[in-house]
Amino acid sequence: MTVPMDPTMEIGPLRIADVDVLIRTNSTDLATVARRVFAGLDRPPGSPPASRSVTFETVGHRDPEPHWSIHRDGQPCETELTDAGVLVHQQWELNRLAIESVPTSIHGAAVVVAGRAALLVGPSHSGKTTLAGWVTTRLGARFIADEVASIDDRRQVLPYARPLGIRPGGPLASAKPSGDPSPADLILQRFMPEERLVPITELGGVVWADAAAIGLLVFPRYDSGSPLSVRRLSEADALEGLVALTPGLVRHGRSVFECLSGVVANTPAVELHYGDVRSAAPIVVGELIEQGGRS
Amino acid sequence: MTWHPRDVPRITDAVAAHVPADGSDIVIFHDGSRGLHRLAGTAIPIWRSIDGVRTVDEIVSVVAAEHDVDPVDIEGDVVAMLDRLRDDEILQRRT
Repeated sequence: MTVPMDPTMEIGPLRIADVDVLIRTNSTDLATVARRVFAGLDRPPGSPPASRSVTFETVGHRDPEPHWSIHRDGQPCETELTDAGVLVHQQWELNRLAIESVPTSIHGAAVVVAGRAALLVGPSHSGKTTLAGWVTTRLGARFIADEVASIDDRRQVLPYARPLGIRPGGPLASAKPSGDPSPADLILQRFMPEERLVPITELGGVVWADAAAIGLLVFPRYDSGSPLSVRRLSEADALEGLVALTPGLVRHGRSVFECLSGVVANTPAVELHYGDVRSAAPIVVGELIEQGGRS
Repeated sequence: MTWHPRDVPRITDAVAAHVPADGSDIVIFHDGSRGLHRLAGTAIPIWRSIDGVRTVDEIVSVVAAEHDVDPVDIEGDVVAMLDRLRDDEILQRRT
């Protein structure tokens, strides 16, 4: 089969903050997988076009060896990607766009309970995605963001329902139905042989599509086998934690600090040290409900 | 050059500070260096007394009264902290 080199298939428009995003590709397989994986980022039906737009061209090449390239508005992002790397890198480019678009964008996930968001803040492997996924799929919270939690001028979390990165053997992996792989699963395995990108809806979760006021800051810390512990954080500790995980602070400076300062001044914060998500997840929901009752 | 007792320290325009309501450390952000500083313990009342109007002598008196100690006993510590904050371009002498 001859693969056309012109990127003629489109995924999107997706909505990242205030930007409409199109991904154009020449691969039917990639288009199929990307539409499925990035479904949570689709521009809401009936929404008017955004004031800005970005087009990615994610193109498969056959010469000299099979590889992929990603260009953003004509500028190269990566040009030597493998099957296993292209989708992950595409996701990374979307994250980057989200961070660029909103100055106060924090490395974190967010879920909504009773209309208020818990912001789960932490570096990679701190357990925030697992916690957000579990709270959403098992405890009825709404999923609003993962990896990038952007905060607007009113100190609300903006939706960024990117797919969850699910590792084999992890708690969320068991939430996915097992069975013989279908043809679609085989295509997924081609692009995601290790960590799988899975929309929360495929795990039975529901997306929260609007901005949400922040009701709780959670700094998860996952250690396998660790007993559950919850520690209240001071405003100073919470602010220092947020600052360390907000890349836009370096570029935008004072305005971002003041936004984060406003967040910690109005939001209780806890460090949640856990080894089993089943015991940690109810803490997040309980704290949010408790804080909602006080406000 | 250290502070003269009649100098008036003021916070530079590059600084944003978070003064927590829960009594925890004050967090200072310097917009120029993008650096973060934390003030704890006795540094907190010193920082609170810097208002761009009080002299160094007056700041020492305010902090001494707050802690019920002789100003002479804390003057060195207060000036040392003001020196440090000036070196970090968080404070400057009001002209």
